[in-house]
Amino acid sequence: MARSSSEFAYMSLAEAADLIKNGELSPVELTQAMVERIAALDSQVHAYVTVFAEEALAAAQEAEEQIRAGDYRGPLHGIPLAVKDIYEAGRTTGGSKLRRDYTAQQDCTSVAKLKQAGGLLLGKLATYEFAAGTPTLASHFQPARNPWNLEIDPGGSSSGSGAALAAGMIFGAMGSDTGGSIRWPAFCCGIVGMKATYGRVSRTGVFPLSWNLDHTGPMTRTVQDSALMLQACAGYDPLDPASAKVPVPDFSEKLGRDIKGLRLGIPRTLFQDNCGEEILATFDAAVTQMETLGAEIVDVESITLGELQATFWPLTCADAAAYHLADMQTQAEDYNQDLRLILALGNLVRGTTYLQCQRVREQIRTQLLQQLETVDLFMLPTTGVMPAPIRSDSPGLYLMAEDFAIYTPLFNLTGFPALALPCGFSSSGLPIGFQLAGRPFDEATVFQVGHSYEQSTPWHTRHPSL
Amino acid sequence: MNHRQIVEAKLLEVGITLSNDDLEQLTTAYAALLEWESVVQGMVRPETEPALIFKAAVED
Repeated sequence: MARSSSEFAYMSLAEAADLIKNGELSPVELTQAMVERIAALDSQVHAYVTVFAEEALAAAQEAEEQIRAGDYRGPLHGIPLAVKDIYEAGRTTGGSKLRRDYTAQQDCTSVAKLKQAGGLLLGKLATYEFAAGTPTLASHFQPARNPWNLEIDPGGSSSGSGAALAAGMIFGAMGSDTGGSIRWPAFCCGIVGMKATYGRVSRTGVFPLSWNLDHTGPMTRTVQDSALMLQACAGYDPLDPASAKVPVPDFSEKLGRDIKGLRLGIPRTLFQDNCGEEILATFDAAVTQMETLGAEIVDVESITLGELQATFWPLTCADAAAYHLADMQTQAEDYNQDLRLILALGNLVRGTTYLQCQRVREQIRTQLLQQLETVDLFMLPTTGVMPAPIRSDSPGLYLMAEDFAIYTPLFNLTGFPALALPCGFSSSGLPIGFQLAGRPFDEATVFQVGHSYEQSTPWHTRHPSL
Repeated sequence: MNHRQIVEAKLLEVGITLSNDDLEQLTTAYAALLEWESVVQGMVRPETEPALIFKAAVED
């Protein structure tokens, strides 16, 4: 008898993989369950822009035959996955009216790698416009909703990725992160987001926002799942100028090891005075839990939030403005207003300012690398603010407002791997999370600590009731 | 020139035309940009070189 979609909805990718490997679950059944769940729920959640139901089911059939014939490729084989709609694969809209009719001629590198690992591409997920412009009810593409409260933003710009995972409509997703766009939706949706080291995961075929600051990475419901997905998509890509030619380790190797004696550096100057009380209290409880697990907590020096914003925004805006210049000259009115303003502002950044920001960025990176000689990881809140309601009109440049306290850009400036994961809930029932960041290319230690925390707490077992 | 005039002139130089509402919001953002410039200028150390994207040599 066929099992219902709700039986699979909140299974981890690793659990589903074990069942598939042991022949206890068919990829076809699993994919059909996801298709049914999307059909039942996505009219409320709006996580998907395009669903490749027929293609995914055909690929699932092929995967089942391969596995039955002994050609098992690993934990992603036969697992339905989805990617942010800036990853070129089939119809790729970028969440923008400007690309509403665009279809990619070939899969981007990350999608090709996930398929090579046996993953099934089930669909393309909602994104803020070109990974930056906040969608509203007036936008060309519907904004994704937060499954914990459908009136609330799921965070972005990988909004659909966060929402689909929280709603049990996919087992793993890919996002992108220029200033927090994997980690902020992870915070808002109560899921796990890994912004891998700059250069770890190919950006070939992913619409750029900022060449300097764009990172890609997996979004999942558990830390183990994140390690499994990163294993499949990491690696040198000669087509990506920023791709790092470094060995790909076993990202799961350290999962399950205790964290006794690991030193966690906390940059309180960055967030102590501007973080919301409830978020700060929840974060401090997570710090206490880390101590209970045996980690040593160390205060480290940091730049301020204002200094972070001042260094980050001119770089992002100028890079984005360069990429979009031709379209801004000919069809500026087709952008959502807040992205149009970001791009216009980028054209006002002086060359000298851009270079000064790059100099300060190098200083920040050097300081943090020195700190990583005496601490193993950094631990801090993801953001100091809760997500706002979905808007009916453009919010203007709220992302740049002094009081929009988001701490994620620090690790875009430095390029370090940073993992966001849940650590509790607000009094109104919305998830709260924190981030861990480590040495360049040491995602394995970041996963180790994240997994240890996750497995000692209940947050990853809680799901919204949809 | 006031900030609004500067913003409009700079955008026209690169062929971008915006509405009045956009220009008003952008003028406020421009003031923030100038503030950011001042903050960054105060942070930069004389010996630091910029982090730039380039590859000095072909890797093996």
